[in-house]
Amino acid sequence: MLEDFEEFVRARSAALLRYGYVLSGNRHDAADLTQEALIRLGQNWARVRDKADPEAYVRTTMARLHISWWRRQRRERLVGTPPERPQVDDGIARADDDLGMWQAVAKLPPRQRVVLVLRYYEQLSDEEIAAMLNVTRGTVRSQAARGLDKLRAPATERIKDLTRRT
Amino acid sequence: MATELEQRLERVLSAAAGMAPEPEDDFTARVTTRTRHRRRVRAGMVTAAAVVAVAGIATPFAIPDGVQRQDATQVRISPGPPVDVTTARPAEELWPDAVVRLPATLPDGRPYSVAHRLPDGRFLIAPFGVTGGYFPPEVLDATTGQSTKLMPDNPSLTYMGGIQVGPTLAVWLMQQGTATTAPIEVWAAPLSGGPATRRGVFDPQQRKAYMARGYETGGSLYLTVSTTAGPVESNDAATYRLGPDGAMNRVEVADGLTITDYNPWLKPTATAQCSPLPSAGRCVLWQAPFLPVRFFNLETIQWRTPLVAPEYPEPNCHPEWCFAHKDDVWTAYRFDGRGAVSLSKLSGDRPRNFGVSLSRFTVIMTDTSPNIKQYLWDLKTNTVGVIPDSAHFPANGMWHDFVGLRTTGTEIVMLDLARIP
Repeated sequence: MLEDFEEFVRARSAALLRYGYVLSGNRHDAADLTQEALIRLGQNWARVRDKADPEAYVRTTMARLHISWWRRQRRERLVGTPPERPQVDDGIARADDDLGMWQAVAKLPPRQRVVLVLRYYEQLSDEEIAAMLNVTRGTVRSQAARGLDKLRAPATERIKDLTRRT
Repeated sequence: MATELEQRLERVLSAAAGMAPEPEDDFTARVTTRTRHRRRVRAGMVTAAAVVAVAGIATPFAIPDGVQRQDATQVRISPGPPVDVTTARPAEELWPDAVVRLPATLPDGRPYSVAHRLPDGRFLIAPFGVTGGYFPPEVLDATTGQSTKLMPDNPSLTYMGGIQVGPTLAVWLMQQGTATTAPIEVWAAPLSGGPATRRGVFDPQQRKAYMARGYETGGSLYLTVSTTAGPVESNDAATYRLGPDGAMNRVEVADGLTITDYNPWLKPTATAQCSPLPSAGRCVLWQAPFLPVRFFNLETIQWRTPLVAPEYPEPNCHPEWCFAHKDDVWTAYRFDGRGAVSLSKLSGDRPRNFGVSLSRFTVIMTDTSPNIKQYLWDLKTNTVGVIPDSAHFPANGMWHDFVGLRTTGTEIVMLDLARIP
């Protein structure tokens, strides 16, 4: 019965790793998120395959895991996973016109970050995000607005800084 | 219509996705192997639960093969009248002498969290980078705002975290290079002052260290490493005592257990699994029989199985305290049944508590998004204070001996638990 699950993992793991990387901002967490979510999918494979969309299931699991892991790491004193050193890839910097947005995204609280990733990377509607995270649509909107506000400020500062230098 | 900011955010996220790692060659095999393993363990647990239900037996439980059999001894607890959390005052008002104000960032702009107040009044801190990286612990002098590094910069070493404070040493782990399979170094610095030194190196033999922690107790340094996740019967957690020459001496009796936080007790890894179900919209714990937790003391070579109260058959136990809740009432009692205290009107979704500090404090959180409520609970006096919920770490939750209250633009306001009389 797990043969088709294995096929699903093989086919979708690269895309899920990309999603995990955008959610978490580092390679190790992306791999851990993806692996854990896939294992949980595998545990419930028959039911999810028959009654739901496995891809949506695993992506929902990853979003929720990211929030809960972040909380647990911070609150429970557990920092067992080797962290990534801060670095910004040239490709990301170019896409951002070097305005520091990726760093600003990394500093967002996890709930705000997840909402923005689901809205602007996954292109989900606020209703879909609300259902996925089990919150109200109003919460999604307020989290998104707060997150965007936090991204706006560093960008403005960076533009001022660049203007001063030139 | 998307604003310029939103368009740029879309571009940045797409570009970031392009930087994601490719799946490793054995990724699919790893996922399917671990899935099969968890299904087997779950099947064994569910079978055991069914046997218990049919037999109508409370304890001992039928335990699946491979799980250490442990007998629970029951105890009667009498917590007295519960404290109503809706009448709780802010923690800052309850314990004003414990309030500590520190600069929000280090002089170079890095934020940090506080782990411990050193005997000389300075603070042991864990700085982290603005983009998510972490740095080895440093010592912050609050009067000058300056921090001092405990170990020299070394770009070939990556900080693994896991800072722990023992009776005389702060211990943490570094990894050689950035590969998760690289050797792990144990570093320690005396709390009385002085630089950190490397105390030992552990090679996980090209396997990813899923979990690693160090601790000092009874005059020795210990390291727990596991390269597999999972409950006690399936992980490969091993604990080593570091000799003065750096030799790793395996504490075989402790196999499968891991170092906990700030105390000499090793604990088994979790046995429950949580499955978020999109349809149900919340995390659901699958039904496994309760297995009494058994702790092992590295210093005294002693086993401890916390007692279980009949009215709370499935407590969440730490080495020193057990927690259980029914409806909106939470009860805590010491591992031997003494000192029971309780709180009431803890409404909200998924209430839980986080660790125990200094043998007497815990933080209880109720999570009804977007209104998260947090309380600091002094188990010794059964006093509870409200902690403001801030989404911004580090002014949030409990970490080692400190509880964050809030962050302003210029300072972090925290409670130093060691200063609560």
